[in-house]
Amino acid sequence: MGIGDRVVARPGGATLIRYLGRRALQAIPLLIGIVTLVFLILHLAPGDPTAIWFNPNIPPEVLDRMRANMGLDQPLYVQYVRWVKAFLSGDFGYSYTQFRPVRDVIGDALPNTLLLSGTSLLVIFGVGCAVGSLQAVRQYGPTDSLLTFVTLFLYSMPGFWLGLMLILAASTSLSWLGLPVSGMTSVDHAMLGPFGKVADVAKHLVLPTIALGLASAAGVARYMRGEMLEVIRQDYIRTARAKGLPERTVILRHALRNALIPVVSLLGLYLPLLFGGALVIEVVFSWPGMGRLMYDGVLARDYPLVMAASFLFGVLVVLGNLIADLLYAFVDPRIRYE
Amino acid sequence: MNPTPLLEVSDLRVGFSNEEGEALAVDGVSFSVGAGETLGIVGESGCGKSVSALSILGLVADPPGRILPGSSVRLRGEELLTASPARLRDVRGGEIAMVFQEPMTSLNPVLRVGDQIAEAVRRHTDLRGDAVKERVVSLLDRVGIPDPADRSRAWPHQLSGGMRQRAMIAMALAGDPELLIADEPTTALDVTIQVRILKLLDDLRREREMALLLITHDLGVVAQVADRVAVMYAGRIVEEGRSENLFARPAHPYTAGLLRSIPDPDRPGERLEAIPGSVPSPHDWPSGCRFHPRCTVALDRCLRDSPSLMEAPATRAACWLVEETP
Amino acid sequence: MSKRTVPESHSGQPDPLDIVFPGISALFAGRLSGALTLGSWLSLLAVAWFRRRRILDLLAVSQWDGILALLSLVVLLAAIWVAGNRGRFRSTGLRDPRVGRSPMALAGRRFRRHHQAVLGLALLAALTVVTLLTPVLAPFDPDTLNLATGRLLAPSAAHWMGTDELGRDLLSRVLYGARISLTIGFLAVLIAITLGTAIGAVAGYAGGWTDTILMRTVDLFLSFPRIVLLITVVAVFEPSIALIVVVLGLTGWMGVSRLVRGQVLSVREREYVQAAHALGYGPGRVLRRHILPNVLTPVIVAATLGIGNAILAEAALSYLGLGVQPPTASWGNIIQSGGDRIIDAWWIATFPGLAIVLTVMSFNLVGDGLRDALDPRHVE
Repeated sequence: MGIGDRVVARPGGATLIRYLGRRALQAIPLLIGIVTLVFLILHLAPGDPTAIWFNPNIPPEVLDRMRANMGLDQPLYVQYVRWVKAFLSGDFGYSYTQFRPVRDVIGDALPNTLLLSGTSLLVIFGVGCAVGSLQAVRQYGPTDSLLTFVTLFLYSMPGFWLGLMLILAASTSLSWLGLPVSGMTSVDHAMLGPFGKVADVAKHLVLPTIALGLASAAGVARYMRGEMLEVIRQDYIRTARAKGLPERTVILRHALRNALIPVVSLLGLYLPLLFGGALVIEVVFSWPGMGRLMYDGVLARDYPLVMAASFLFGVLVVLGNLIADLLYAFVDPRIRYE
Repeated sequence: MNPTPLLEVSDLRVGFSNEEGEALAVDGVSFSVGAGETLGIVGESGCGKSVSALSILGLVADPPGRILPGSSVRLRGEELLTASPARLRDVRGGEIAMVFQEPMTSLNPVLRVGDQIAEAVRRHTDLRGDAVKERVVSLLDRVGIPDPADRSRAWPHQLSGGMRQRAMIAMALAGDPELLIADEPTTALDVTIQVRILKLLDDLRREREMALLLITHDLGVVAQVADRVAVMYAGRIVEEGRSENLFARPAHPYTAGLLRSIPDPDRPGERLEAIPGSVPSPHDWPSGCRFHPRCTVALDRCLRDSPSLMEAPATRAACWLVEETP
Repeated sequence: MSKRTVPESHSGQPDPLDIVFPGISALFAGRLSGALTLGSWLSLLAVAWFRRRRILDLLAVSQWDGILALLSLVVLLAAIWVAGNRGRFRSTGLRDPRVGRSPMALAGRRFRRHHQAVLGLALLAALTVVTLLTPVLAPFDPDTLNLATGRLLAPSAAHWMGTDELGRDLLSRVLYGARISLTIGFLAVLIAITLGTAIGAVAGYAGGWTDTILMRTVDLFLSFPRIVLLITVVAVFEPSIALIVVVLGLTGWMGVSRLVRGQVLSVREREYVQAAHALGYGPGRVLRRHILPNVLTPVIVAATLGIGNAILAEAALSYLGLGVQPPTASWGNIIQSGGDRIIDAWWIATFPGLAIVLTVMSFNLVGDGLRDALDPRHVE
């Protein structure tokens, strides 16, 4: 590193590895906890456990096989251990309604959920940070007041309702935009060229992303505004101005970079909201993702599917938090170099 | 007196607003700094010395602060208070640079030290690319930071307080300023480091023929380094003169009080004399001479009339006693 | 005009008159909140008098109405009390001298804060009054079908919000839906803050392994999106209002517990707590009398904001058909039936949604206002 002993820091970029390693290690009991919770919910249901699995569409021999597989005749702790082992190795059993391994069913749907969530995340933090910073720089001006009201309004809005309103608008007064209101692909998707396919999915992505992202973007904007205001009052901003730097550089290079740090920590908190919202939005827009799958599974009483999806949502949040931690360390050098 | 002083501040008035209204933190302050000389402005906290310094570069936050009309800050005759924002930005870091009190919070924690200095270099010189890096390293070296090449890649939190202040000074020197304003540069540092930083500032001044405006509450600091001294109290300058004269024959009771309250190493165990009372806030400034409630030798006149600077034997002081005593 | 909002006796206790008639002292201070208080009391008394028989009937009709009436009253009184006693909630944090304080900025900030909080409070008060008086205000019975002539009528003078697919008046259903959504939200948050405060206090006070285990449990619950847990539980059990309330409560305590734990940790080390220890007070008493009162104020903020979130969560659940079941009206399930026919009958989905937005907005306004009042250092 070359930093000598007169420097206050402890040596090592190894601190970064240790920091992340620690977080990753903490994730493992969390994952086990998630499995346990799902298991508990299932087995806390009143009545005979096998009665829950009763679904008139399933032929009895399949049911017996599943019982044996799940070890439902075994004592609870044995079942639990099998359950944990199965889930952690990705074996989620068979879907009742689709007659395929749950893993395959979810495997098809998961990337779609990630696509929707990922795009929304960009919108949430991109738009949110931009709006919040703008408000901070124009504090108390008319822009600020208007945006404060708008963000409050959006923040209080249920995402699914916004989705329905968007569908209404896109189908009536804004129909000239040609935005599709359901599904991820058009009927003729298979016949489109590679660019066409991408554009098709992108068009379908527009409305769901707005519905999913706008409310949270408003939340981020409110938060970002406060952080920017806090940062602009700091001494190092005064120093930057004293160096004769143009105001734009002061705001973008000095203020924004510092204000983004706490916002990144916000990312971790938003993940559950993001995935939860994605679930509902997928239902509204018939987006073929894991959320809609889980919802259909609940209606059809496809328990393996529901349990697996539940577990995976938890896993997504935990993984997302790890990534957020990584990002946080990247953005704040004080963490990196303890 | 210098023919055209480098910096001339005349009748500076700065108001600050809070719930109780607007009050003048700086009330008619005038001073000048000649090329290559060191002026020390001394006063307790709350007397307006920092605000005066910030006003020179237009760094007073507006709101809540406001430089009132009638004030003037001239750099070699050029009025800075009415200068265009572009011109002001050129002056900042260019002709006039500033170093602040808290080096930890005055450096951006998410940018490397070298990058922050490089910013100043790029802003005020024509250097680009590797030449910038070389300049940064040489600046860090000049301010006494060992391993400057490595240290330039450090983050502020990795440096000690003294190192950070040196880095700030290096940053201020990037544009080769003619005047360096140092606002309490050593207050946040250990005593041993204080001496070294002051010496550094003095050496730099001599070497670069730079003027130094030193703001501090510490008379000891001023004694070491300043050519001339101005003492501020409650938004006004109450005494000014060459430093050896001021220390030898202070004319204003406040200056005298300050000097008496410094422990004398030659007379250990002696009781320290504190000035009775406390510094008033800008909203509660007394009438007449603002020091009169705490002055042991106040006259009746002091309650009514506010004195301006008058010629005293060794210095100029704003005190009626100067006039009264033959 | 006096700057104090609460007349206090020398011991610092609030005026006894305030306990009986919350906020009445604000009236004597001549403030806006005083006017609000007086106005609210007078209108309540007037309505109560003119509808006294109806109200007595209401309270006797069903458990639900009784509970709801009581809850609404509590909310209204709490709102008035808080408005009148704003000053008491101010912490003694140091003022940051650099916070913008020019006359214009100051007025702007004060006006905004005050303006926002009062607006939120007014909306909340209006909401409370409306839910209290729903049976009186609703023009039609929410469950009366009109399959012959009344299906899917657009908004008109007869039906301000139109009718739904079974001919029921939408306005009445939205009004009754308010009762359901607010009740669920309120009760859920009650459970959440009770649970959260208890867990957070124990974790903060006990420290060590207890603390670690409890906080890891918090992390565990936070790893699930709330909806996912809600759906999973409802999938396994049958949906009912009680179940919804319980699960919402069980999924909303985590934030509060962290808050409380933080507060307990910071207060635990203060001198007066150590003094209490020295006097031999047991941990229970120390917690109750010394630590919890300090913790109360941020919890109130969290609770207010939490009600808004609970309402949103219940709405989503009902929209999915897994929450409040028809024919009971809930904003969420009305939106569900509206969603199926959004293009032909836009009003069915639109109005309940607007109701949700207004309601949640008012809770957010009040919550933000409270937070500003409690922390003067909070940068606006």
